[in-house]
Amino acid sequence: MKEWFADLTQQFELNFITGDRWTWLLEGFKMTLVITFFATLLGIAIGVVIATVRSSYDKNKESMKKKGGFGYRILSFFNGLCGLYLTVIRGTPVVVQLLIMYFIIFASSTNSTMVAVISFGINSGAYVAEIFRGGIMSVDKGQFEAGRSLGFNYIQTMRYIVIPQMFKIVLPMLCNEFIVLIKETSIAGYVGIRDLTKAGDLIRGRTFSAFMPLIAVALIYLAVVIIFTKLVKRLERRLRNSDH
Amino acid sequence: MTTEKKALVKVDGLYKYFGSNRVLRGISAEIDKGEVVVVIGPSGSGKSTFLRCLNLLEEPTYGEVWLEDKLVTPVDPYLHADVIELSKTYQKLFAQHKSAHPGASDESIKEELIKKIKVEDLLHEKHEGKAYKSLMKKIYDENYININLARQKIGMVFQQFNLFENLTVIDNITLAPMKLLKMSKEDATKKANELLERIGLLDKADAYPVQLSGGQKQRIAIVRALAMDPDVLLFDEPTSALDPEMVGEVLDVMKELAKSGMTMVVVTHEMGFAKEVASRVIFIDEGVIMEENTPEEFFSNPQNPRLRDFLSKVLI
Ligand SMILES: Nc1ncnc2c1ncn2[C@@H]1O[C@H](COP(=O)(O)OP(=O)(O)O)[C@@H](O)[C@H]1O
Ligand SMILES: [Mg+2]
Repeated sequence: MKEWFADLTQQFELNFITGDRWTWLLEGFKMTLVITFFATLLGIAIGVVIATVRSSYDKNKESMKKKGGFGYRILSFFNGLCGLYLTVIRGTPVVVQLLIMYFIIFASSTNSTMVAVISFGINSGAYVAEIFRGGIMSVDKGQFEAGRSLGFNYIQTMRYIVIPQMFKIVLPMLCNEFIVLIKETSIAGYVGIRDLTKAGDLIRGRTFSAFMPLIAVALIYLAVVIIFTKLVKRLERRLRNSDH
Repeated sequence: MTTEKKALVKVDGLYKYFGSNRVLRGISAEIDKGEVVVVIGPSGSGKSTFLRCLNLLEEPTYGEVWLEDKLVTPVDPYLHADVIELSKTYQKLFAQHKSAHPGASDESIKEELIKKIKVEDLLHEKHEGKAYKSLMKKIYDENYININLARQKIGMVFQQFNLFENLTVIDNITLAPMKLLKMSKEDATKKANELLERIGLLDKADAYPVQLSGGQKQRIAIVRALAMDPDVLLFDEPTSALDPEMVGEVLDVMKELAKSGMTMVVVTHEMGFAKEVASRVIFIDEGVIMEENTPEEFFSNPQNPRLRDFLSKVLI
């Protein structure tokens, strides 16, 4: 028992203290958070655009089709583009998307962090778009009609009335998307990024002991996910209980 | 394209189909300034659809809705003869006809072509030069009113109130005047407060809709529509979703409005309201107007057997 404990302490020292290797994990963790944060933002931006295009197409296609013309063709073109994007993103593995981004599309770029943000952001956008679409549909149709009946156009009605109400439903789901992305970015090492997972792996390569660094990495992910999930639950409860 | 006697709202040959369900089957009506028109009829007869066609929440299948001298319904300006004449399609066809029938006069060919050309024929030619576009715009501006502008002048009160859940009462009322009429916040708030005072709900200015009773919500929904200074107000069964004890307070506001000279079109089952303030009562059944009369005649001397049947059921 004593020996085992001594061994453990020694392992701990070797993996984290010697050469300040714990800072690798810290730096890696920061990288993971940075990529996740900016990828979430990009995902939200893309998701908003896609959801807007798709739901305004659904809502206006009947009346626009009859009039025909340029507006309808543009809108249905973008709607088709969005559909293609959703199909491709949801139908291929994230790792493959990341590799394609890094080695083909941005082959000339040296900023791998940016490539990762863009890649994960584009991936996340597909899921965020569905979140927003669900959010828009969950707002009572009467709210939309009341807005239009006062003379607001489609965009104004969405902006002043539908979207603010949608956010209450959508906000917790967006936070969940952030949590999912924290874990999903663990493949960033494939393109040479030192995120949390990669940092653990680098320590393993240096010390030739897998247990300590990998369990540490797992525990950090777990702790972060548990904490964020708790926060989202609380946010959800607050939004639900508030009168407005 | 102008009417002689200018009704505030004029409906001409209105049809509305939902798929194969023919809900409105040719409704024509005129509503003059200051009139209170009450619309009654059995459930499912098309009353809501009629009302919603007036502000194009439903787009009519056929027919026209006019607001004063401007057309609200979207009839394609491309179908205007002057526009057709400018199109390449027309000119091509004209040349063909001309060579095929050298004897025919230009006028007769023109007449025939204009009847024949459909809007679809012109669709792929929609971007033809400046002259074409400016003529289109001129025709549009002379004869049509933008739907969002029209809706600013046609207020609507819904059965389910539809107050904006994310906004306080005062913001519900001031939002449209501020954003659409570019009223200053002070002016809009002042006006909203006056209106709230009038219905005795000034103390609710900062409340959210969920904190209000149904009757209060509906009175505020009326005020929200009034804040835009509409020319006409549409009511779709404004008291049907209310508990009985709250019906009176809403009807009182509506009666006061009617007496102040507001033009109103009211779909309701409140026959007392119709008798007291209506200038005209319309009976809609199976998507057509079956009878239309002053309230006195309408209730004491109904002609149509279906109306008599309907009245015998509702006036117990
Ligand atoms: N958006 C819609 N889509 C399909 N059918 C509809 C729609 N709105 C109304 N209808 C149909 O139109 C008919 C008339 O409805 P409505 O105008 O609401 O009648 P009323 O208000 O007189 O009770 C009903 O048969 C209803 O099912
Ligand atoms: Mg109805």
